[in-house]
Amino acid sequence: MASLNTLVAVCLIYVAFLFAVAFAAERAAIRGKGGWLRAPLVYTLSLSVYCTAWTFYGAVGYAARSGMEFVTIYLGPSLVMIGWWWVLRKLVRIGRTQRVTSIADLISSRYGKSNALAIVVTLMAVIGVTPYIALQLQSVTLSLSIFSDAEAVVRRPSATAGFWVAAGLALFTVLFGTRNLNANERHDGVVIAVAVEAVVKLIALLAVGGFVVWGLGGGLGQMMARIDASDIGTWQVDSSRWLALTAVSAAAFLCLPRMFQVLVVENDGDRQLQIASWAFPLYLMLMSLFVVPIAVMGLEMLPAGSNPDLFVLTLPLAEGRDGLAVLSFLGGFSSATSMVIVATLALSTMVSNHIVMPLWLSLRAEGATVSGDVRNVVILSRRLSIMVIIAFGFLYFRFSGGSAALASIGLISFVGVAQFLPALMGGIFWRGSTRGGALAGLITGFSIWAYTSLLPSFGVDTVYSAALFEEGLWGLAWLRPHALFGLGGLDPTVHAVVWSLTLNTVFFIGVSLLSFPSPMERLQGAQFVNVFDHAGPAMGWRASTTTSEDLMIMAQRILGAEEARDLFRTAAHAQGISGYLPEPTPAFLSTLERELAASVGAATAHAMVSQLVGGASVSVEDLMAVANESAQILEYSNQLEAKSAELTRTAGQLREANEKLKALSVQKDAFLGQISHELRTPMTSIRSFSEILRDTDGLGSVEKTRYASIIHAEAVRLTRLLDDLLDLSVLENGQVNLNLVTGSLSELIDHAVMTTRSGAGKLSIERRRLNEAVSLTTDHDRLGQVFVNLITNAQKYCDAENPTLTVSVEEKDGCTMVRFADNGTTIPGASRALIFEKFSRINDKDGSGAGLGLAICREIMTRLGGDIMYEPDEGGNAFVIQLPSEKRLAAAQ
Amino acid sequence: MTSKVPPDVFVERDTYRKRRWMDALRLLPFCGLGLWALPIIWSNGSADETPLVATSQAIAYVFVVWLFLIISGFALGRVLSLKTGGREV
Amino acid sequence: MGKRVLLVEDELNIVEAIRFLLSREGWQVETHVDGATAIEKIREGRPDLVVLDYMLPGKNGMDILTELRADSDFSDLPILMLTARGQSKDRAQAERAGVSRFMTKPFSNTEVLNAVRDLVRAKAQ
Repeated sequence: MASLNTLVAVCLIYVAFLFAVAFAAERAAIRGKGGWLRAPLVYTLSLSVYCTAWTFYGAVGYAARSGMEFVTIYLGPSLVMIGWWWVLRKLVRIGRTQRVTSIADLISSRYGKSNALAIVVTLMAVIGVTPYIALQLQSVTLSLSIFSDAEAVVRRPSATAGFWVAAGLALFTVLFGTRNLNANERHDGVVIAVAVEAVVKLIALLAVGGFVVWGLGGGLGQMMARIDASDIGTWQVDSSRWLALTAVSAAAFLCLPRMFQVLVVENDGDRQLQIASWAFPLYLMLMSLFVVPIAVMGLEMLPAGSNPDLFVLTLPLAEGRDGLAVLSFLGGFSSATSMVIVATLALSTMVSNHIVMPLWLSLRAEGATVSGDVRNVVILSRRLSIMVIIAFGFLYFRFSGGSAALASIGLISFVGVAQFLPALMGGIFWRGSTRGGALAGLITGFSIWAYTSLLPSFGVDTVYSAALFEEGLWGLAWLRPHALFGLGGLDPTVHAVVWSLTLNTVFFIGVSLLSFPSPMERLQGAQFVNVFDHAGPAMGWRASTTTSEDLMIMAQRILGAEEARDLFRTAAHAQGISGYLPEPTPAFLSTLERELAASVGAATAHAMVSQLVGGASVSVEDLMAVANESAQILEYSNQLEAKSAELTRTAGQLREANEKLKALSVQKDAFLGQISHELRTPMTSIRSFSEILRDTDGLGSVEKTRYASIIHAEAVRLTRLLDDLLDLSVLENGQVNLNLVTGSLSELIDHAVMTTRSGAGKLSIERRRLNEAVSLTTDHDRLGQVFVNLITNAQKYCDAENPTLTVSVEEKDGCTMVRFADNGTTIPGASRALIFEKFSRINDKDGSGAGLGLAICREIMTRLGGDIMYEPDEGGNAFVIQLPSEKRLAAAQ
Repeated sequence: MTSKVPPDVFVERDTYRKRRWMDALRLLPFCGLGLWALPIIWSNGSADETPLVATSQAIAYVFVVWLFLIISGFALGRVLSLKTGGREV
Repeated sequence: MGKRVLLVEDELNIVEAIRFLLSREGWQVETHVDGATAIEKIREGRPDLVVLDYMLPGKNGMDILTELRADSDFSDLPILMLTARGQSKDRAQAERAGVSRFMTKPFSNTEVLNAVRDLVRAKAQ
């Protein structure tokens, strides 16, 4: 007989071994050598947290009492895993894309990041799971007591032992569960420890089973005969319980916080799930393979009154197989510890993220912009939550007296967490489900569960009086806890399952149908339901007034300085910004929010970001996306919209064209009037004087000469006008052929000055020849025409006493500028806008100009790919010619 | 927005086969549910006229169904991951 | 003799031609280039005839015409208007404004002299 001390030593060595494994795994993961930690096998084994002490010890007890019924709690999960393609695949994908930290986070995130919903789910989970944790403590202390006193098989478990077990579990969970803050990151240490424990418990149960079947039962055939001959030898399972328990265990498998943790949060890809889809049912099958034989042999061989919940231990002990008994004890110990660790981890994340952190944030007046590292607060709050939850479990264990059969506590817990199912399934499959519906369903289901299942479980005359069971609450018969609405005659568990889940679903659907979701709910709904269609996040932060510095400070406090800097730098890099502060674009804010959500949950992260960013976060585009109830409708409306936009555009273009035509018509009239005037004016002089010469007798020769020269001058003016008009027309119509030659700018200016020398008058021209050494490929004749025109204008109009024209060349922004500056009277401001217009004549005293010169200059420069500008100068006027660069010339052609 | 592309009606033989395997995978849980729900029509002692089902038979039935589901799940998973070249299905 | 004509025209060669023609007919010709000052000269000098160009710097011929006709003192002053724009709507506008005669450039010298004679004769009757 192994002494209690030996057992405690074995326990401690085993725990130390687990610590070492977990520590090694964490180290490997940090060094990037943790690939094997993500193997589907590890994932599958980690799912075994489903198999708790209830399963390990309780299943045998269950079988001893009710035969094959125990297997239902394995059938449900097996079906869920086999049907992974339907539900789990979607859950896991949502969990990954939304960086979900817990089931409360998922439900709250789906229904518009509602923290109220998160709190409700968290509280329900804590209430539902605490008895379960107590159950684990009970099983460990119970099994310990077996060893301490082999005779007192049904001895009450020791409270002191329970306390130490609880303390040890709390320590382990704190050490490995809160090492990294980011709950969305895998807890590699915990997962690997759980996987190791999964192997231990499977081996232990198979060993005991093998011993029972072949060591005690005399082989498979004989064993079967013994089973059929036993008290549980025939099929006596109640049909309604068979179905209800299968359904509830399936639901619980999805909804239990610890299962959600290992299934969804710790998941690393669809491949893990695909392998686990058959491997985990295999594990469950092996776990249940020898349950009935052990139960039958226990019933047969052990004294009447032995606790069937402990047959797994007491059978080897009674046969003197101490080694096997210790192995079996370790199996049970593993089942209990792995469950408590993962469940507490999941619950503490929920409590910390959805209750403690929001409270803490709201208590601080500064809100999200607090000073100091929020990470410490988060970790501290998570550690405290772990201890508080385990303390709750211990207190429950201490005061419930540990008397109830393991299986019944487990089932009550299952039904409790199964209440999450309607909100969960509705959330991922039905876009119409709303926050109101989820709240109504959860609260209804949970209340009915508490009333019909949890509270009665404490036994008659503890919470409920015997009268209440008989006559119902306040003497209302239809409120009897086991016969609600008069539906009596049902098994109490089935009764609770049927009423709680039915009314839960009815309220969930009913309220959802009647209520209207907020934009955020609709957005999230679309994201969740269409998780396989939507690649990117659609929730939008409006481009905001927040500064990246503020966001950086907040992110550093939650993610840690280094991680935050990395995140920001990556984002800045993606935006093409050097440095580490990206623009607070909607996309970046969404990413940041999701990163924060992985640490503190969606609702809190959303609240923190919105505190800094401020204002509504749903943009018109987002609403448009939500409005897309079906892609077709949107497509259609998009087409309509496009068509109407096109019509509007066409109408606008037509209107514009009409305006242009009208303006052109006015311009044409004015132009024709101008041309007519310019042609008729010299013609008038010519006609008049030629008639005078013809009709007047006795004109003196001086007069004759004078009149003839007027006629000549006017004829010349007319010719020049016609030349100019023709030139302009050619230029404007783009029919001009450019004769591109490479030559020096200096020579070009020389030539222009030479050409105009005849009319030079008093005008002196100053040049800076050094700068003129520029080689130029352009149409030199045309450019020369511009120069000549400008020099001629200066000759004609410069009214200074000593008229001077300064020609200078300068380089500016890679362009060559030639500047013709005179010292005449500056053109008045109102006229400046007109100087390049046709027929505009400013200070034209002798009327010899047609007012086309500068218009032609401008056309030429445009054709050459350059430009001409007027600049009023200090005491003069300057025309600046921007010479065409090679590139622009090419483009102009 | 994803515009829904209508799936091709005629696909290559391999693709067609792969889709049918997918169908089988999807149907498997319902198959299991049906088989495991079958015991509810067994006599459970409340009606005397029919002979009771022995627990050994019940165990055999439940575990055979279990094994069938596991093997089918494994086989379909293998077939599909081979067909898709190891990619996620 | 001694009849005075006031010529408002900005083209110097045309001024010279008209001055030559009318001087030989015995007119005393006074010329102004700028439209704005011309109207003052007319009010001061009260000429027997005004020859008015349509396009003028300062104030155009149509404005001067309208202004003069608005004044009862000048409602019957013979005004000969010349224009190089040659657009029919200008003629219609000038006639509405009460022009005595409207002629398009380039004119024939005989036409101008006949018109001036007609206007003076009409005034005398």
